[in-house]
Amino acid sequence: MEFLGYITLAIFLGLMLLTLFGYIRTPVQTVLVLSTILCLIVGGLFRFTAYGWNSVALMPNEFLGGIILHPITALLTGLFLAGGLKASGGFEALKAILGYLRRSPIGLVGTLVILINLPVISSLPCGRILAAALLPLLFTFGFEGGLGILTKSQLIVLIGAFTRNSMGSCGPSPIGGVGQIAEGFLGSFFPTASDGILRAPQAFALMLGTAVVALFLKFISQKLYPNDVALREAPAGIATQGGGSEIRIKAPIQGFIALAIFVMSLLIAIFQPLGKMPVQSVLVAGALLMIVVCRIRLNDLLEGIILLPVTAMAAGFLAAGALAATGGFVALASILNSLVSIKALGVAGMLAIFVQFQTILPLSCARILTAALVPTLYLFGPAQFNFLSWSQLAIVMAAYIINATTSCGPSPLGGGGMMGEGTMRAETGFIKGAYTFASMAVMAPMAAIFMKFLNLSVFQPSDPGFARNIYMIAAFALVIAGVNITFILLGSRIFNPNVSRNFFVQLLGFLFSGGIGGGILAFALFELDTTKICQGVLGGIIAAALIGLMAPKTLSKRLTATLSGPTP
Amino acid sequence: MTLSDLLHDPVNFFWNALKTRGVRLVAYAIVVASIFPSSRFILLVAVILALGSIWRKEYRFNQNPNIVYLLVFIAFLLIGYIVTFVNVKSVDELRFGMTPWGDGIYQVTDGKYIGEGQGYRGPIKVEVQVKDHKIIGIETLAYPDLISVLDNQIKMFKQGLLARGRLFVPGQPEMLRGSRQTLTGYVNAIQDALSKGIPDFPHYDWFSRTFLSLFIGQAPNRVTLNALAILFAVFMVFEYAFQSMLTPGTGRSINCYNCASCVGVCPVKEVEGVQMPMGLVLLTRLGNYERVMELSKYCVGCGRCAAKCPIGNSGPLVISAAFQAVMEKKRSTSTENKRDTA
Repeated sequence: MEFLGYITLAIFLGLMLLTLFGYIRTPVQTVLVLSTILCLIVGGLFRFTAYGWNSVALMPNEFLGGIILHPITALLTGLFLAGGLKASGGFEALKAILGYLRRSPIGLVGTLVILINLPVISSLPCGRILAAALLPLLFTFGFEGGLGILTKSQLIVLIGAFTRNSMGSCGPSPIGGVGQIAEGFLGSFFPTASDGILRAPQAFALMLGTAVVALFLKFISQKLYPNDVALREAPAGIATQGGGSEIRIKAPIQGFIALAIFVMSLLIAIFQPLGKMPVQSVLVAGALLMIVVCRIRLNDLLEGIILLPVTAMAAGFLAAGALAATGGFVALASILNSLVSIKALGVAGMLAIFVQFQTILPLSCARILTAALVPTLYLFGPAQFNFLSWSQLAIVMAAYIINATTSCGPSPLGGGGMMGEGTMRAETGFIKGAYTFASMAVMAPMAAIFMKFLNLSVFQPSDPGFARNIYMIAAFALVIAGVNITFILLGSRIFNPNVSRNFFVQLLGFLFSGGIGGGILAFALFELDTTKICQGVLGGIIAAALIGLMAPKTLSKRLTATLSGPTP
Repeated sequence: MTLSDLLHDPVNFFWNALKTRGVRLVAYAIVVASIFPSSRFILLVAVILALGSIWRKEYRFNQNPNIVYLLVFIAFLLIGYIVTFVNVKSVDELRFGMTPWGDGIYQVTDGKYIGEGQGYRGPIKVEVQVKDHKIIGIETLAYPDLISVLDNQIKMFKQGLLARGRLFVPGQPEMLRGSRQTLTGYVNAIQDALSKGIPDFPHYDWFSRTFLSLFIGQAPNRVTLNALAILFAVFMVFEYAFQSMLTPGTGRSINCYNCASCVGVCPVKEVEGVQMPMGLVLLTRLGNYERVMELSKYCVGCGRCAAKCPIGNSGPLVISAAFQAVMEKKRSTSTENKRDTA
């Protein structure tokens, strides 16, 4: 059976890698279903030979048992609600509110900061929902969009940071977000895990990561790929800083009503003031209320559906179920187990690599691999291998999930980040370095620290431990952000026109930051155990090398080649 | 689609029905209603409201008489409800004097009877054996609820029932989720079984039974509402994907990642509030081909989107498929008109 597991794991990972590197050009869901079928065929033949027909007959139950319906249907109903909001002019209402905020004392910068963090504030089950609605609005802030209040460089930063925040907000989402999959597993020990044990660490890490992405895009990406964004600068003579004529955004009254219904539905779904009920019921009721009150059509709800995350999740669950039924996870766990036996790596080093797995292998929706890998991570805990206690498992889960949820950002397979690249008219891959750097160096260690010192600590506000833990989190946040910002600023200063040299400098930065990130993760898990911290540093460096090497040195000229033929 | 179409060309009639969203939605409602009796009344009301809203508009614009048929149907429902109500009330009064509870067991003749009751998650079925006007055996044939309730509360109740030999009101179950409904359903199933052993036990007439079964089903509860919400989501997404598969050439639009990378390279980018060309792809998913044709005049046909799309979708491809679909629809409409005229 273990041999079968290695075969099916190889099929799964092989197909995923071939898709990621563009050798298979079909939608990733198709590849996942293909992988499921192949795994089942191989598994069926193997079982028939080894154990007989009865063992084969058990397989459908085993692989279908991997499907978790709740996040799929919660995501769907979230999409309906967003569809209703869009059709009734709710997003226009949101734009109008932002317009008022802009004229308030917080001004343009304050409004933009709120705008960038809006996805994590609203925490919808898929980042694409808000991104699809608001990216066109962000585009209007530039010269080409009409408002002309931001320069090209500022617009790149704004769009990139907003997209980063969006493509990660499905982690802390309590209405069908990816984080719920991990919370479900942690629920077998922590009774209130499903109420949102991972939510705060993910949201905090995401906010900090968003800021670092903004800096990376400003100081590194724009220097590394100076000619790969087709946005135009304002022509000379046209002032950009607030000089553009201000366009007042008008929204229909139905839009404001729909926005109110939307917010109320989210609050009821999250806080359950009317007693326990599935989020799906609340969200569908909200969507139907929008149909009646705002006079929208059923078609408008349908328009809100974004099929990719829904089908990716379903296909991911199928693939995960097929792997489970054929021993793929056991094989993966054995491989990782053998990494643990390498003295230089140990458990800390292995985990430092594991939490970065989805940043290394970014697919178009985080749910695909999360559905497959969270059960493996769970096995590292007291459930099987006993590498980690329940608290340590929760810390690793926090670090893993934030990186997993942000992995659709840099994915070239139609990941959410491509929406940002499309809006900023950039070549595919422009944002990859910034996104993977922030996920690896900032978000994973920060989520782990936050989980260790706040979520897993039992304290009262009057307890001196409370203040100490808050100071610890603040100190680590400053250190993590400070070190990485220093690297970004230093790197930007030593960049020169030599592309290869710049890429090498960037890779060096990745390695340093990855090492620090791995060390901090090891500290969060094993505290001041020097050996473990060193192992974590090494694991972090290995993961960073894989991530850094996959960031493009130069960007694809596929489009140019298509239009004007290959250039010599 | 008319009745004569069904008689002359049933295959084409059903194919056209399948391609009509409204018909599909009603079909989903019928499927759900047949599987979940507790959803029937809600779905009936929803379908009537939806059809009423659509046909009222049609009546205003082109005097389409469908709304009149709907009103006749509603009148039939009201009359049927009154007839059923009267019958149910009179039968229930008769039944009150023939209940199998307590000493009423003396009316039950010897034999084995099967009865059904509604539990928390579905129907519970039991077989009750009566001998010498005493319950001597109970077998659970179908039980979908919590096993812990079966092992504890129901087990205790059954022991009490066999000891006394007659049906009695059980004690209040412990606060397990749904245990009260489960126990009540179980008791109702036993009562139903015992009632079958009473000679001349009054029954509702055939009209009331059919009416209750078809249009009312069972009393909806919270579980029904939650199940309906989930089914609504599942059917909607199925419907969304199904539409593009029914129209040749638009199936590829299902694969759209909504990544908007095509929007980035499109020289048009946005017109009439639609992101080009991604909006065209999404409109074909909805089956809104006329809107695609309206917007197609803005597409310059440069094909940049095809080069950028990770799965090879493109605006011109979608427009040509939508054009085919619109032409097909026009052709079939004109054929129908010609036939009607002839």
